[in-house]
Amino acid sequence: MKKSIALLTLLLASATALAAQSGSILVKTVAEQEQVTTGADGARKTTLAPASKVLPGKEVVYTVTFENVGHDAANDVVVTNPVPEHTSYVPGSAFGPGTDLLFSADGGRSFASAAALEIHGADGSVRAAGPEDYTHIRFVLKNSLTPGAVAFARYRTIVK
Amino acid sequence: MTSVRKQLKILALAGLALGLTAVALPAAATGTAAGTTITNRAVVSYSVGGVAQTVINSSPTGNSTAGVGLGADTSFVVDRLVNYTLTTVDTTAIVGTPGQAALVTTFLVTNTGNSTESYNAVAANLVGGTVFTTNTDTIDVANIKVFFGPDGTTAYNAGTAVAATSAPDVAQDTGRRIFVIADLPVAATNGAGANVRLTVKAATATSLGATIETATNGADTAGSVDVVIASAVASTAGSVTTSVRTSDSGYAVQAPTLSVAKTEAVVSDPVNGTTNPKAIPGATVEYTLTITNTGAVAANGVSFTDPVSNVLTLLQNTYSGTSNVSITAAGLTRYCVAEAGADGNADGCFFSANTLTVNPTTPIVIPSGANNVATVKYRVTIN
Repeated sequence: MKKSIALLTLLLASATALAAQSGSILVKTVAEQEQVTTGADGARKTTLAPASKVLPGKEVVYTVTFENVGHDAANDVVVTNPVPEHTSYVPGSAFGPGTDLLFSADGGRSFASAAALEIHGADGSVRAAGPEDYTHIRFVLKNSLTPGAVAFARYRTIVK
Repeated sequence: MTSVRKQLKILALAGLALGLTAVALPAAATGTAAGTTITNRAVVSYSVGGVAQTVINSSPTGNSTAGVGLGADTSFVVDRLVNYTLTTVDTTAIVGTPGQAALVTTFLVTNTGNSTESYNAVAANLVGGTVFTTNTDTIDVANIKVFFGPDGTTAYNAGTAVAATSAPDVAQDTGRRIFVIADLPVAATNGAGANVRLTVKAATATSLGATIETATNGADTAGSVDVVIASAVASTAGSVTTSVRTSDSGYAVQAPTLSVAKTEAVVSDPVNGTTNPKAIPGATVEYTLTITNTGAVAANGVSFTDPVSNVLTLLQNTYSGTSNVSITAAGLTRYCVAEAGADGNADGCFFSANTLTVNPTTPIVIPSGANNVATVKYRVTIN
């Protein structure tokens, strides 16, 4: 046990050494809520506004934008988002143009597609994972992100 | 450097612990509590030229500094939803007798919002004609008081009830009984009804029901807990929105309703004896008072006075022993002695100033329903 902590510290130390470096991707997460407004012509318009008046049962839309601010193409771009505590994932809401969707039901230790995700019980039982089990959502960009390019991923949660 | 390393180590361990507990966390039975900060931080991994790069964490405004824990959380605070239900626990009006004090009606307030609240509770008489179930309001109750119970189920108990001026805190998703206590007027008659309305407003926790919850107007204040009044309870006056719910209950008066009939029968006369006696001087006449209770409840301590004409003389020793008044009530017959003048034997029966008073020390009880008729008999002679 002592050894593993020491090892972890060592690993973190090396990560810290690299911490000061500027990465090539600018990552931004915003939390918003849908707001329905009725225009002068009577048409209802749905817009996103920063999360305000957030109450249990309300939907919060998370949008992650990632922009390549470097000089080289970024490959294998993977964006991992937690489903925040006190919220649950809205089934089918994850959406990211040009990405493959993976989910985790074990706190981010393993990921699989929605169809393949399983929950392994302590007693050895196995069952298919449902949206309520998701702890993390992962967007895997299919193509490389070229310098200057911006991509985004979006998903919705409901405040419990 | 050492301190940063240490911090990171703690962070990493905390992260591991969180990862483990997040899976085991049961679904909350109730809404997320107001004031809870919900945080989110995305992690991006990528490679450049085939070399894996250090991960980058997100921030609300955009972060490109690589490294675990170097972004910032995107977070918001869960606001306070004020919502509750108020119901009467009594399915019918509470029955009481005229003059009965401290009659209890019971209500239940249940906090369905997402924060602890106290409640401002006030009760008042409803106007005449208001109907609660089948109880029509015809009178007012007096001395109305409001108390809170210790929980959502315990019946009223003076020892555990708390006055509305010291309203307790009610946690989200729990209920509290509210008791309205009042006195029925002495003059109330059988069938009268008094209905009351309990008005409950949400107030901030620990304010003992005094600081009424008011909706936060305008835009959300980031990072602070705004107050939202659920539409089900919202009450708006001008630009101020507060909460209000009402529930009604009632008291029904059940009183004895007595009617008295007096009949007379000649028992004997000096000429004919007991055969077809006539009401001639010297004849014995028996008076029978029949008291019938057609009310809903028993009449206790029934007494009466009967003036006796001065041409008649109340007979003594007419019934059992020296008694001269026969009382039959609740199926049992007993006797008392109405002596002339003061009530020498203190049995409640006496004859003074040409008036017979029957108010036995063992009170006369006339039940409602079966056996609801009492009879009192006495005999006189015609002078």
